Amino acid sequence: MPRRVLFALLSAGGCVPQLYTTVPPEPVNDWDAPVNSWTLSEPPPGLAPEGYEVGQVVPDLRLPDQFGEEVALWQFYGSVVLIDIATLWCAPCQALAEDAEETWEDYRDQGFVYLTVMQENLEGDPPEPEDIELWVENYALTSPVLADGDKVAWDAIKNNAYPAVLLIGRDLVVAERIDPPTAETVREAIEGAL
Amino acid sequence: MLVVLLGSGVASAEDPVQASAADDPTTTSVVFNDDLDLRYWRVDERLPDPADLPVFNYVEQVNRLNATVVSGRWGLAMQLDEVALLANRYVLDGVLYVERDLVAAGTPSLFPPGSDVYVNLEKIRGSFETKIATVQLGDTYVAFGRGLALNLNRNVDIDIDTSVQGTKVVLRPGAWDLSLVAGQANRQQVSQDIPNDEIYGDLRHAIAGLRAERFGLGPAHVGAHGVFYNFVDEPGWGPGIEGIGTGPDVVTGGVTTELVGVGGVDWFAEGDVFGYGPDQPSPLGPEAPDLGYGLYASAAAYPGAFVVLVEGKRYFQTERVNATLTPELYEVAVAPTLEYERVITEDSSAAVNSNDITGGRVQVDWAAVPGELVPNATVAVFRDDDLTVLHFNDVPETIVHPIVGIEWIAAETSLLANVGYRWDLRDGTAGGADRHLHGDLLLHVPLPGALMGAVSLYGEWFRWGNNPLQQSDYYEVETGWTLLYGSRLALTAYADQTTNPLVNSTGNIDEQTYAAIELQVKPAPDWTVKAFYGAYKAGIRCSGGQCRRLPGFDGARLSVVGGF
Repeated sequence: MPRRVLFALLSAGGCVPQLYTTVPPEPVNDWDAPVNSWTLSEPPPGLAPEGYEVGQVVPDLRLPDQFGEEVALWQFYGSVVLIDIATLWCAPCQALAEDAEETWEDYRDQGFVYLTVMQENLEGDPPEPEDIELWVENYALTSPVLADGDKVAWDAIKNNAYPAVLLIGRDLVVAERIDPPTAETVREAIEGAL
Repeated sequence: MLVVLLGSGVASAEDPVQASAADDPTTTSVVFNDDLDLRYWRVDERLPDPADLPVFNYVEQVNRLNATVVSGRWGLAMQLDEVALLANRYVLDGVLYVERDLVAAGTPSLFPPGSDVYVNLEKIRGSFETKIATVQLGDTYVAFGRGLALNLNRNVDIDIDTSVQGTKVVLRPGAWDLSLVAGQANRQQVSQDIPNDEIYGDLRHAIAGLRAERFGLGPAHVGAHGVFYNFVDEPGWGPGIEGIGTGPDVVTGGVTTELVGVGGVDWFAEGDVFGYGPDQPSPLGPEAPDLGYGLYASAAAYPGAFVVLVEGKRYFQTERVNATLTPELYEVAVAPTLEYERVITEDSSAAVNSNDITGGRVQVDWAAVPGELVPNATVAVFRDDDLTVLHFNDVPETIVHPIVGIEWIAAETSLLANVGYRWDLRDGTAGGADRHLHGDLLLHVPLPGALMGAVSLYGEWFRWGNNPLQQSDYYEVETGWTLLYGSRLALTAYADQTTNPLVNSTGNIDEQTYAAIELQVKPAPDWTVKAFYGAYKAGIRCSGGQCRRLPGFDGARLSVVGGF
């Protein structure tokens, strides 16, 4: 059957009966483990991605890291993960990155991962490998830095504001959206989750 | 970057919800104002297959209805907001998809979850007013002194409207003004200037303030005030009310002094102290003290044909009170920044939001030909020692910003023009300096017949200093060309161009160029109809002391504003 797209020109959900059901997210029963150099722990089967709100199971972001290898967010199941969604050009992102490596080093032995997700380069364009390398070198990072030029994680952004910083629990559930994201508020949140 | 709001002075307080006593206690008046906006958004995003259908284009309809009833000393005012999305969903292979969520999950709404309609009784206020007292219950606005400690007003230009929902009492016994306000912050949910999506509920921060002013001590007016803030993390009434019992997060106290005509000069000075609780982390770091302070002073003199205004500021950890609110896109305290609002950029916003800044500004207006020709000159100098949050610089910087301008009126011709250069010199030699050249012009000229022409031009050239992650220099040009027929008809063509990579929009002519046309008709004095087609770029817009980042637009827009 050829694919067809229909437009719904008028939608007033309060005035018409609900004639449809939205499709719930598919549970992942056969998780495909990526190949990379980071910690890998298989998530439980049947886990379903939900979203980026507090209390929701975070989607399994799959993005290339600074070494060109695919990294899956769900591979960090069992660890507390800080997702720092940033751009190269934004000043608060740069300020937060100043402390990123130290934060990563201070807590990694307790099962913590600092994950930077880079969405734009200095020109506001999708980051190239050299842009990721620039960020890694400038802040001397040994933690994963992922390139998200297609803004797969866009739904995690609020009010078009960068950085968007989320703390993910060991069960891959969003524990907290850290606002304002400073070195101090980030550390406080991490210590509360570990 | 964080979308932060900036302050440069007391925000204007246009309040269509104002209910005030009529002089004649026997009359009753009922006034309605309605603002209807219909926007067709063109969205570049496409499905992979089929890729040629503009599936994600949609229509957004926003309506704001204000009603005011005044009967003698009693008044009632309310604002009802409504927004609806059309063509916001599509069916693909038998599955319905919703393109965007108008209302965030968990937000109270009259309509079922997932609906594309949202209605909100945004503001409501009852009032009673006599010559010596005013009592308001409901949504009210308040500013103490120059706004350093408390400044919540309705800013129509950039659609910020956060009120204090509670009680406001003003007593005016003799030469005194005593103001008491207590309530919770009520942020406006529905916007008329930016796309509405993910509308979320109110974080009802508790606010209480008291101010006493004494007028007529000779040439002096003095005042003192105190404000308490308690911020909450969860929406709804419960957390806000529970929070009141846990003690304030921020306590401020301040005094103001005004001297009128002393030595031919009008003087003003304000000092405020900010005390922060342990839950209010400082952007300056964990070693920063728990106290902040703000000092503002001005002197205005009128020697001959000149008007001379001198202002000074010293702010240390005053913006910290607004840090918690940055995700909500408003500020509770807006101090004078002494900046030229029109040219605030991503870089200069750092100084405007600085938690450690000292500076001053001198402005001279010369009525060379009174009523016809008034040149002016301004110089602002700041020392910014804050290196955190929005600051790209790693060392402190000294900011120098001269501006020259002219206002010329000759019969039906008028010209307003300004040119300035902002120079952010970083300490040492490695950091270089950010340099910003800017100019703006507004010209009205009569044309044959009953026609009038107007030209609006703005241009800027920005060059960055030396940053570890070096951004690109850029320029921006904005133009507007208007043909007016009397006061009832106006046709405007817009053309903008920008090479600023941080502008989060794409032009409709090419990637950097935007064009649009707008027709404005006033069928009656109280009614305005506007029809817009084309695109405009994203950017920062500032008005009345606050700024916000506005997205670009590409599509068509119809707006009808009227009163009855």
